[in-house]
Amino acid sequence: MCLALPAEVVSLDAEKETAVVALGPVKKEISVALVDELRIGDYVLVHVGFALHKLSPEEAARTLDLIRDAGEDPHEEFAA
Amino acid sequence: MGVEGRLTIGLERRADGSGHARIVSSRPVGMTRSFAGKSVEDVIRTVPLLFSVCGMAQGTAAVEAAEQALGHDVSMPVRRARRLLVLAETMREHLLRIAADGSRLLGIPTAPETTLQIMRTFDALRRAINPERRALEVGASLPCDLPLIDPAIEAARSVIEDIVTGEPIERFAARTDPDALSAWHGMCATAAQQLVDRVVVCGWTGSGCVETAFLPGVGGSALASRLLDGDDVEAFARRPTWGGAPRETTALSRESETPMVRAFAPNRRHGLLSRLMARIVEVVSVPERMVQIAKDTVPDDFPGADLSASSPKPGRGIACVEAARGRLVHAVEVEDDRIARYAILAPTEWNFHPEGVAARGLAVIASGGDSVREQAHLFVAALDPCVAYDLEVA
Repeated sequence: MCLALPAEVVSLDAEKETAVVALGPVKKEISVALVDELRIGDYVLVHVGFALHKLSPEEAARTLDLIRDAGEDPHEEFAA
Repeated sequence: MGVEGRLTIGLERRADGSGHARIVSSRPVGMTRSFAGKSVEDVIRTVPLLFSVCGMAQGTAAVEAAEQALGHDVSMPVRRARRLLVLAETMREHLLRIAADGSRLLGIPTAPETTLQIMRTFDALRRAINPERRALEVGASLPCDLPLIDPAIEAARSVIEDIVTGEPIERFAARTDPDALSAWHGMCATAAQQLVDRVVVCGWTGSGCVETAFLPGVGGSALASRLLDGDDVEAFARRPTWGGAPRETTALSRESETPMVRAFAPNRRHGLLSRLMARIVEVVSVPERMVQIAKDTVPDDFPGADLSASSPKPGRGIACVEAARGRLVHAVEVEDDRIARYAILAPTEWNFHPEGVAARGLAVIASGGDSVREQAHLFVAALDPCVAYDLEVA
């Protein structure tokens, strides 16, 4: 996947170092082994099934706005 | 269509025995139109977040193009940090590719622990190089010392030995003749050795072998004009040519003169094996290149440095970065601190041009009778498009 979409953490499994992240109605399980002190509600950048790092809500909103301004649906992209 | 698009590749063996490859891209190169009117700062801060595969290269190209347009000087520690980040990302992407290709031949997905090992190594380098995440800001200022870089480079060296060389990097680097390389891949202990050995054993070393024209150094003024002026700028970004022909920009275009690559490229015609070896040679060189850059003994290794001799007009900036998959170019025009025009020219558009190196190499593969699909997948992976693709074999 070329584009990184910011996804919101909706559940965490600290033992397995995994999380379920969501972008709108689309949810995915990813590894959070690279990110410290993650909490539900945080935004993360995802690459090859890993959270790369946390984003502020403002950074997440700015990224999604750019994609929407390009006339694309980020939810569809995340589901791909 | 998703915002990133994908490639559709169709292969056909015609009645006369010739092969044909048709490549259709749905990558939307006009996405940067949405940058117009936004503040330079907002766009530059968002670009590295928008691109996951090559975020460091995209972020570096974006910020250096903007700095040139705004007339900012960039300090040596900042340039150094950006080059180290791009090299770390190149290492990550090459290792992920090698691990995935090695697993594909065994018919299994990449082991999760291998992926985690690669991602952790990149993350440690990123934290050592750019702990405050400020290197990709316009006008960034960074300290000269990198106290955590040496252990992070040593960890990278260890992972490369695990996944690629299977022996100390120095020993591998001394294997420059075919017999020594044959003994190396015959060990079949690492993903890279298994991959190369399978290609050799199957007789696919010359798969997709064609002459290729590498993308040369291009003047900044001419390239900025080609990307920002006129009615056909998106057509150029979608199907770029230079000197009237499609060009190749890959790890091979950077490593084609190294002895280990030339050993597998008779008459400088490149097939599958020399392409795989170029990626291997490049990833193996990353730790030593990082050591040299961290010591400031390599002041600037991007072709972007050549662009200063022919800078675009005031208010415009252009930057070239050698990303994992090839040369990435960003061009920008700024008016009153806002983006007026913006263009990105990515290596996938050069390499997967309908008449480019992928199409010509795949046509050669399509003309063969056996294992066309498997060879085609390996050849596409060797060129490594930055998006997903569909392969149809008629």
